[in-house]
Order: sequence, then C-alpha cells, then structure tokens
Amino acid sequence: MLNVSQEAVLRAAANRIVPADEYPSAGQVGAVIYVQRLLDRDLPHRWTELTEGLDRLDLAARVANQTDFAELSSDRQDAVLVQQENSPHADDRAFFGWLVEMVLESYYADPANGGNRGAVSWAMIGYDPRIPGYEPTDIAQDGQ
Amino acid sequence: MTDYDVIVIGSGAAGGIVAGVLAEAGKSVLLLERGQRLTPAEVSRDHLRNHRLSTYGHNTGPAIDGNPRVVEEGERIQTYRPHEPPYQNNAMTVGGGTLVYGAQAWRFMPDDFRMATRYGVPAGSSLSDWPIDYSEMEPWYDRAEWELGVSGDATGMAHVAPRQRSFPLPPHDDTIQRRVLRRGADALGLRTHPVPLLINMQPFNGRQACIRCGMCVGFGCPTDAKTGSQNTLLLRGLATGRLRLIDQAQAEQIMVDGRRRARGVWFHHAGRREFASAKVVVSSSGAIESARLLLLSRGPGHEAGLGNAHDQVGRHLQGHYYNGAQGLFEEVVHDGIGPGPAIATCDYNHGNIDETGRAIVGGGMLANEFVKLPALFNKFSYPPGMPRWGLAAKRYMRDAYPRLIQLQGPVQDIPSPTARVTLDPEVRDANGIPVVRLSGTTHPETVRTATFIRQRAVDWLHASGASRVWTAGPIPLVLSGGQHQAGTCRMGNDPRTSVTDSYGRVHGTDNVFVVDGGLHVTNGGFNPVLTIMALAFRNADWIARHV
Repeated sequence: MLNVSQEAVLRAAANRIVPADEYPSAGQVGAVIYVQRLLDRDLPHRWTELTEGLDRLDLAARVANQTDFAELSSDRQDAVLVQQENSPHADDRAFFGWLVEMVLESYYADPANGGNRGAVSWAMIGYDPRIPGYEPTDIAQDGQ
Repeated sequence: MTDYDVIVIGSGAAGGIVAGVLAEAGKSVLLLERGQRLTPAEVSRDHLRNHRLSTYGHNTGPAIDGNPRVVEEGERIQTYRPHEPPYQNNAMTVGGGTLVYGAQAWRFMPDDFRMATRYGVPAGSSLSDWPIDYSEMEPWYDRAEWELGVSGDATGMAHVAPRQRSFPLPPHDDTIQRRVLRRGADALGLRTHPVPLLINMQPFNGRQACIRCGMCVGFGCPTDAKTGSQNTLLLRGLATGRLRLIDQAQAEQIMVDGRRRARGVWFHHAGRREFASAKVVVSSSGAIESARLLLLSRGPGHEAGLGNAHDQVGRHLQGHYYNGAQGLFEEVVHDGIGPGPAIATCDYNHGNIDETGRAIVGGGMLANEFVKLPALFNKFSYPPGMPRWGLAAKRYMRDAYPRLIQLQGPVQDIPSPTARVTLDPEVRDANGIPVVRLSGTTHPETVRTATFIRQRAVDWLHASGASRVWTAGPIPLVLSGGQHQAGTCRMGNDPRTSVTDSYGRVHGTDNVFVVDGGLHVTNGGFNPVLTIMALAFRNADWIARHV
C-alpha cells in the first residue's frame, strides 16, 4: 500500500512522465491505480522497492527545494526527475527507469489495466482495436 | 490389447493435425495437451500479457509459476519463468501457438532443404541437408494450404517455390503500407507479393472471414477466422468419435519395453499420475518439450533417453534471428487495417553476397509488421536519442505511430550443435518432473546473415521514402528458439547424426515418433508453421498406412 505522500509523489511524477497537453496526463487517467494493481498482481515482491523509491524522490525534492515533490512547480519537478535519471547512485537511476516504464505502460496499455482511462492515448495516436463489441473497460476512478 | 492405437502428445500446429488425420484414418487416438482448451474469446486481450507483448505474463499456458526452465548464459545459470524471453516459450493450449499466432503461411524454398550442399558447412556448424527435398514436400504443402485454408496470391511467387496451383483464398486487399513499400521495392527492383496467411479472407470451412482487426498476432481471433489446428483437423478428428482429447494433461515419460517398442505414456492429469497404452506414441510437444520428453523417457536399452544413443537429442536448437529496421515517413502510412503484414520479398532468402564479396549463408524473408499495440510501439519503436518521458516523448508517440513502418523477417538460423536442450539435474516443475535446461548459442554465421538482412530492410525503407531509418544496436550471439523453435530432434538417414528417420520415427524404436518443428534440420528463412503442418500431414499419413 502507498501512504498519502507516496501516492501524491507517484501521481505528480506520472504527470511529468506523460504530461498533459491537448490530451490528459498519465496521472489524470489512472497511472496510480495501474501501478498499485500491477504490484499487487504481478510484483508483490517489489512493494518495498516502490515505496522506498518514492520516499527517496520526495526527499530529493525537499533537499533541493525544501518542498514536497508534489507541491513543486512542473519545472522544478522535472529538474528533480532529471537529477534522479542522472543520479550517481545506481539505485536512484534504476528506480527512475522502472517508474518511467510503469507510467508509460499505464498510459498506452488497455484501460482494463487501470490506466489509459477512456482509451485516451489510443485516440491520441490513432489506434483502434477494430473489434465490434470489444469496449476497453475502464476500472475504478481515482478522482484525479 | 492396448487402450488406444495412437497417443499423440501435444495439440499444436503438428499434434492437432496428426490426431485428426489418424482419427479420420480409423485409428483410436488419445490426444494429451498440457494446456487448457480455450475458445478464442477466452484468450485474454490484455495488452501486457499476451504472446506478442508478454511483459508480465501470457494469455495461454503454461502457468507462470510451477513451470520454470534453467538457462546457461555464459557462466551464469539462471531460472526463468515462461513469459521471460530466455525461456523460449511457445503457447501451451489446445491448438498451441496456432490459437494466437500471426498465421503467416510460408513454404520453405527448395534451397532451404539443401543448405549444406548449397553453401558448404561453416566451421563449427551442424548445417546439413534435409533427408527429403522440396519436391517431396510440395504435395503436403498443397494439402495443408487447401485443407486448412491459406489466403494469398501466387502470382509473382513462382521464383519462391514451384507450386501445383494457387491458394484457395484471395489475399487481403491493399493497405497503405503495401502501396508505400511497393514504391520502394520497384525502385530497388525487388520482387514483392502479398504475405500468405492462414486466415480466412473469405468465409471458408464453415468459419467466418477476417474483420481486419488491430489485435491479431498474440491474441485469439474475434471471428475465429484465424486458422489453427484447433478449429480444423482437431474438430474433424473429434467428429469421428475415435479421438479423445484430454487437456491439462502433461506427459512425463514414454514407456519402452526394453527393446524397440513403446508400450504407452505416463502422464499427469487432475492431480493423478496415469498410464495409457498404445501401439504408437507421437510427441508433438514442440522442439524444446519433445526433446525433454525423449530425454525423460529412459529405460533399458535407452539409458540416455529415446533416440539419444549418439547424444543428438536436444542439439541444434534453432529459431529465427528476427531482424530488420524501422522507418519514419512524412506521410501517414498507417490505416490500422489488420493483421498488417501485407507485402514481402523473398529476394534475400538465398544467394546473398556481402559488401566484401563474401557469400552470406542463407538469408530471410522481409515483410512489414503487424499492426502494433500502442504499448509495444512505446517500448520498441523509439529511435535512438528520443527521450522516454516528458512532452517530447508524448508528442513522438502521437506523430510517429501513424507514420512508422517496420520491416523485418525471420533470418535463417545457422545451426550449432552447442545450442541445446538438456534436463536440469535439480530443478523440477509442479508435477515433480525435471525441467529443461537450455545452453549454447546459435552459430556466428547467423549474426552475419542477420546483419546483412537488416541492412536490406534499411535500404528498402529509404527507397520507399522514409525520412529517418534506424535499427537496434549490435546483434548479439545468443540462443534462438522461442515461438519458431526447431531442430532438436532432427530427421536424418544416419542415426549417429540425427534423432529420427525421414518420417519422424525415433531411431532405435519401432513405434515412437516426433512430429513437430524439432524435426527440422534447418528452419528456413520463413515462419515455420506451414512446414510443420505439411510435415504433420505427411508423417501422419505414413503412420496411418504403416504402423
């Protein structure tokens, strides 16, 4: 389980990994649900890695800006993420790479996985499964 | 008295056909399938857990837990689960890979059956001719195409392989990618043609036509237009009343009587270990699992496993080195009309010369790719230097998805005797059976051939008008197997260098057969399924008449 601040970091990071433009950001269409479901279902052994990684990301934001990651401006959030991406610490780099891949999966996979609500990314790129009666199913809303 | 005339182990491309042919020939048949029987609609449409993109799992068996394989990677020995690439998995379900495959229905070319004669044997390779030639195979290819139903256009394919007649079904109509790539092919002087598919482009055999969906390869077909063994010969066999199918039944051992005769099969089903007897046993478990089963079937006179008196079972494991290139176009080249592969050339399958004037061994067919799942595109279709995250990465997806063509093909593996299947001495599966250990790599010539073919894909994309073309990094020397796995129970006339005779009968036995890709001496530069199916018709016909 994620605590409140870990969830806020995850949502905020997802919103920078796939930011909003004419189409919603990853955090707006279910990235947090996607990640939680994925860990519950397939990667339960990686929960600690996830929560510790999100905590480290938040700590990096506070060290650099004296502010929680989720409260920073987009530019400052990006700066913290770039710092993680190029960190001298291998575990920071590995966590960032993993986080990016999960968020991208949430945004481009089928909505039944918890992200890509309303199949917005498919509309954005012009992908159509073209299967009558196959309605990619959204799952529970997470409000953001 | 035996329980059955024939026990067939495995219901995939080969086993479903073998069982159907033998039941129709009047034999009583038991068909054991390790996976479940699923309708196409029961196969999950999860974009991250399917046989095209298996990031977290598959949509058919084997179950992720309880079915490991062990892989030697240099000094490292690692245990893998079925959806992880080094496992070299193929779908385990009734119909096997044919329930979820892309259904490309290629014949091998005449030279694919005589590779050693054509090219000589590279040092360290086990390249060899088949014990049969193309003319022997042609009638069986024809039968497979017409009984199962292949869509295609034989016009312009005469140079690929001689054929007695065209296809029973027309090819699918033009797509944007076909038109764009034909332009480039014309500029290069390449001969092209539609990709033959085991997909009903018109209603056929009582099943509907393809609706050209965008989720073909890796998934069950929404109209059951995709033709596999499970919706053709298996159903015909069941209709005779002489075929009994047991799914979720895993064979453990073929029992031999101490001389040359198998008595039956031990298998696990519903938590019990059972025995069924038969006059003939056929393993159609796929190249890797057939080798495993022969190695597990030790007995008096067969101390190293069936057919393994000369340490040949499990060697020469092959698949294909898939390689090619991706190109971005200024124009939109995506119409989303599935399945996708619509144009191919076989001009690079043989007779290739590299830039230094040296002959390339073999080659491969090049075709455009299936409609891409967005998640798959996101993982594998970013050009070098493109950021993975941020607005630029998102805009790339939006701009590039409709403007990208991937050209690739199954590059012929040059076999190596070190690429092999053995039994792991310690690790066992959920039924307590020793699991497969994989080791070795393909021959270095495979890498040279793949490097050459990849450059041809680059040229074709440029000639078609791509504004940016790229390939993956250096091509590594690795073990190849996967969905196109072959070679582990190779046919031959000499028991010292092969596992079976030219009808798949295991050397040293009278009544044990292998019928699957394991028989392939070499695996062509093509998707191998039609060859597996043609051999299944041929060998089952022989078994029906002789045993």
